[in-house]
Amino acid sequence: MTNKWSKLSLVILAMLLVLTACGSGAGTGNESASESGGKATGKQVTLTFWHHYSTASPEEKTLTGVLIPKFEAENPGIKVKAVAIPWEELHKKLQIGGSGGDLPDVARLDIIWVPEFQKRGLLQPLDEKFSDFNDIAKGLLEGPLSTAKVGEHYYGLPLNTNTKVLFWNKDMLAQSGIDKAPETAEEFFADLAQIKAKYDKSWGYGEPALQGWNILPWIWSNGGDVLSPDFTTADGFLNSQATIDIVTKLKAAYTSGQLAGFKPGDVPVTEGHAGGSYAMMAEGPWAVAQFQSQFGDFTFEMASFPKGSAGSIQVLGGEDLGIFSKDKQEESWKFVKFMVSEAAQVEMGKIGQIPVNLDAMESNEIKAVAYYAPFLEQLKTAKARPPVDSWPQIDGVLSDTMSSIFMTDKDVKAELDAAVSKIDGLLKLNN
Amino acid sequence: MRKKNGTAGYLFFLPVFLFFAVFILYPLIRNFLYSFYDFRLTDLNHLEFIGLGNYRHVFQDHVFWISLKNIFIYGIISVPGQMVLGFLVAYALYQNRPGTKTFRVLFFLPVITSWVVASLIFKFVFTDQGYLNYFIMDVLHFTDKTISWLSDPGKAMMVVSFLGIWKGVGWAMVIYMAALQGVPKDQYEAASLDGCNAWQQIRHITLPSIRSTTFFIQMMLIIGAFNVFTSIYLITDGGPLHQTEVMLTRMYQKAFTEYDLGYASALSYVFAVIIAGLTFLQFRLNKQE
Amino acid sequence: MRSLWKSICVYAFLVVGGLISIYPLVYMFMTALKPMTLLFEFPPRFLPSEMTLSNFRNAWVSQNFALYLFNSVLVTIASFGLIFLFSSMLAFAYSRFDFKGKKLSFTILMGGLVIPSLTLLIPQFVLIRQLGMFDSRWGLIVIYTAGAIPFTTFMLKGFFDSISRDIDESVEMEGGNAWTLFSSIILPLSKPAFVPATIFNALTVWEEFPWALTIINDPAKRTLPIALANFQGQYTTQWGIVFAGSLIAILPIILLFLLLQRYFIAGITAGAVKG
Repeated sequence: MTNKWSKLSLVILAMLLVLTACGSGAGTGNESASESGGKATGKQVTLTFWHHYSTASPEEKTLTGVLIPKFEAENPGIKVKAVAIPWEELHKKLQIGGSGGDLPDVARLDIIWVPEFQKRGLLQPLDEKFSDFNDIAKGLLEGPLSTAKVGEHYYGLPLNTNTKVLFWNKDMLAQSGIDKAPETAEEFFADLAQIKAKYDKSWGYGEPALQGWNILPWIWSNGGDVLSPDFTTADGFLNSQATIDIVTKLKAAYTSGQLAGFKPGDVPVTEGHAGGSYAMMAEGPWAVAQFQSQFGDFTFEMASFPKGSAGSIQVLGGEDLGIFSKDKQEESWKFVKFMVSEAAQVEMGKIGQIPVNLDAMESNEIKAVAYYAPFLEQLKTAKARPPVDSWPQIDGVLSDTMSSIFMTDKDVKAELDAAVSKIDGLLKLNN
Repeated sequence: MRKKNGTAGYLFFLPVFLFFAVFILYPLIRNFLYSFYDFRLTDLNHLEFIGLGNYRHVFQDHVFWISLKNIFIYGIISVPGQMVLGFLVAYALYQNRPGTKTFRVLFFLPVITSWVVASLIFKFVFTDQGYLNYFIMDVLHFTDKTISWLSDPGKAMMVVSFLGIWKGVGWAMVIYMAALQGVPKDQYEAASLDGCNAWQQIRHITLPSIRSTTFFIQMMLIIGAFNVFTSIYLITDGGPLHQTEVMLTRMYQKAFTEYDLGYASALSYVFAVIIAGLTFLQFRLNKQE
Repeated sequence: MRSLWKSICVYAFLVVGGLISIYPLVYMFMTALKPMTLLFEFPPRFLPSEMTLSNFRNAWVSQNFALYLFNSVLVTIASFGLIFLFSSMLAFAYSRFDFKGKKLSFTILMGGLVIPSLTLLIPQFVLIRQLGMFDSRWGLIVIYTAGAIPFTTFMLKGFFDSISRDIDESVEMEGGNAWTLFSSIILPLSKPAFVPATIFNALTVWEEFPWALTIINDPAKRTLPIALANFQGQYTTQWGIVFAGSLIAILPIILLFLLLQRYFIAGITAGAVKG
C-alpha cells in the first residue's frame, strides 16, 4: 500500500517533469524559429496568419488545402501557419495581444476594425512601406480598397467584399397577392401589411439584430445618417427627421407583428426565411450557401434592397488583410499580394467570397456564379460604416437605442437624442 | 486531540499557499488597483487614476441594479429548487431500491455535461419554434398563441433558473446521499415504532441530523448562483434591453464589448462584497439556530 | 398496499426526473445524427427521419481534433497531479498542525471559493506574460491548479480531519516524521476522497474556454473547447457538427464518471464533505 502510493507520487512527479520539458521545449523552439526567420534571409520563415473562417467551412478548406500550399510552392522558404479564431474572439485577441506584442504577422480583419487597430499603431502603412503598393491597389475594386484607408495612408488591402440584398419568398408573396419584390420602401411596408393579413403566424420581414449592420441601410436609404460626413458628431444626423421617420415606420411594423427576428428566442432569420416564418430578409451571399447546403428544396429569390428617398443604399461588409508583423514584413507583403491575386481570388470567389480583384471579377469562373449578380449590383451603391476607431462602441449604443425604441413605448426622438449625446461623448473621448 | 506545532507544518503550508498567492491573490490585488483607474482593453499599458470614479459609475448604472435583481431572482428560484429536488432524489435513492445505481447516474449526468452544451440545447428547446412550444401548442393544444420564453425577461429568467436546477440537482443529490448514510438507522426504527409517518420522520429525524450538510449545500449553491454566466451569455446574452443581465454578463460586456476594464474591476469588487456579506449573514443565521 | 403505492409514486418521480435529466443529451445526440438539411425542421421531429454519421466524421477530421483531445487530456492530467499534490499538502497542514496565520490564511483561501475566474482574466494574463508562460500549456495548468485549490483543500481537510489522530502518534513513536505520516498514512487512507475531488473538478478544467483562448496562440497547443468554438461561424453555424463535436468532447468525462462512480458516493460519505 505504502509502496504503491509513493510510487504513484513519483510517477506524477516524473510526468510533471516531462511536461515541463515538452512545454518549454516547444516554446523555445518556436521562438528561435521565428527569430532566425527574421534575421537570416534565404532561410525558412514561418508566417502566422489569423483568420475567422469557421472550421469545416468551404472557405477554410480552400485556404488550407489549396491556397496556402500553392503560396508555399511559389515562395520556397516561406511557410504559412493559418490559425482559425471565431470572429468576436479574434477581435478580442488582437486587442489584448496588441498591448503585449503577441500578434500574428498577417490577419484577416473585419473592415470595421481597421481604424481601431490603426489608431493603436499596430498596423503597417502598406503604401509607405512597399513601393509596388500602387500597382497592386489599382487592380482592386475602389470601394473595398477605401475601407483600408485611414487618413492619408492604406493600412491593409481588401480581401473580399459583400453586402446584403433583399431575399423574398415568391410563393408567400404570391399567396398574399403580391407578384414581385418591393422596389421602394412604401411598397415594402405595404407588402408587410398584406403578408400579415394572409399569414397570421409569420412575419413579412426578419432582421436578426438591431446593430448598425442591420439598421443603417434603412436610415441611409431614407436620407438619414448616424454621423456627420466628417464623422465628428451624431447631432443633426442620428436625430434628423429622415432618421426619425424611418425608425418610426420600422417600429410600427414591429409592433404590429410584421417584423421580428432580433429578440432572443425568435426564429433564426435565415432558417426561418427558408422555413416560411419570414417572407423577406436582407442577407449576404453566405445565406445562399446556407440555403444550398441545408435547404435544398427551398427556391430563393433575390432583389435590390427597397429604395428610399435617397436610393437603395446597403451597408458594405467584407474583410481586409492587415500586416502586424515587425520583422517579417517583406514575406507578409508577399502573402498579402498572393491572397489578392487573381488566382487566389477566383478560388475563394467560387465558394462565395466575392472577389475584390478586378481581373478575377472578369474571369469566367466568377461570372459563372449566377447568384453574384444582385450582390454586385447592390455593391455599386453600398456604403461603408463610419471609419472611426470607436465604431464598435457606437454600434453598442445604436443597438441598445433601437431595442429600447422597438420594445418600449418611449419617444423615438427622445431616445435618438439620448443616443446622440452618448455617441458624441464617445467620439470626444477617443479623439 | 492536540495538534503539533513547529516548522513541519510550514513546509506543507508555505509552498502551496505561496503558489495560490502568486496566481490568485496577486491578480486579485491588481484587479483591486485597476478598479481605481481608467483602464481600457484598447491599451493595457495605459493607466489613469480616477479615484472612486468607476465605483460611482457602477452605482449610477441602471443595468447594475437590474443585474443585482436578476441574481436574486435566479438564486431564489434555483437554490431551493436544487436543494429540495436534490434531497428528494437522494432520499428516494439512498435506501438501495432496485435500479438505484442507474438513477444515480442519470441524475448526475447533467452535472458533468458542459455548460456550453446544456445552454445551447436549452436555447433550442425554449426558442419560439422549439420543442416545448410545439408540444404545448400543437400536441396538447393548450394555447394557440406562441409563448416567447426567451424574449420576455421574467420567463427568460425562469428558463435560465430551470437550467440551473436541471444541472445542479445531481450535485445536491450526491452530497445529500452521503449525508443520509450517516444518519443512524436505529433512530428510524425507533421512530417507526412510535408510529411516525415518512414525513414526520424526515422532519424530526432526517433533516435535523443532516443540518450541517444542508448548510454546506446552501452556501455552495448561493456562491454558484452568483457565478452564473455561461447559460445567460449563450441563451439571452443579457437581452432584451439588458433585462436578463446578471453580474458576470454585465462585467464581461463592460470589459470586452465596451473595453472598460476599470469599470469591470470595480463591478467585480462590489460583487465580492455582496457575496462576502451574504456568506457572513448565513454563518450568523446558522449559528443562531 | 400502502407501500406499493408509495413505491409507485417514488418510481414515477424518479423516472420523470431521470428522463428530464438525460433528455438534453439524447436530444443532442439525435441532432448530431441528422443530416444538415433536417436540422431545422418544423414541426420539430425528435427521431431523425434520416440518419447519418457524417457530422461525427466531419467534426473529427476537419481539424486536428485528435491533437486537441490529446492536449486537453495532457493539461487535465497535469492539472490534477498538481491539484492533488498541492491541495493535500495544504489540507494536511491545516488538519494536523497549528501555526501562525493558520486561521487568517484559511479564511483567505475560502474567500477564493467565491471569486469567479472570469474577473481575474486580465491581471492573470499580465502575470503569465511576465512569467514567460504565455502560449504554453503551463500557463493553463498553473491557473487551473490555483483555481481548484480552495475547494479541493476544503474537501480533503474534511476527510483528513476524520482520520483518527492515534495513527499520528503511532507513526511518531515508530520514529516517522511528518512526511512519513503524510505520504504513507494519510494519503493512502484518503484514496476514496480523491474520487469526488476528481469528479467535481474534472468538468471545470475540461471545458474551460476564456482563459485557454486568451493565452494560447499556437494551434498545436489548443484544447478542445477552442476547437469546438471554431465550428461556429460569424453568420452561420453548422449545428450538427457543433453537437457531434461536443458529444465527442464530453465522452471522456462521462466515461471517467462511469468508471469512478462506484467509489463516488463512498468517497463523499467517508467524510470528504461535512460542512
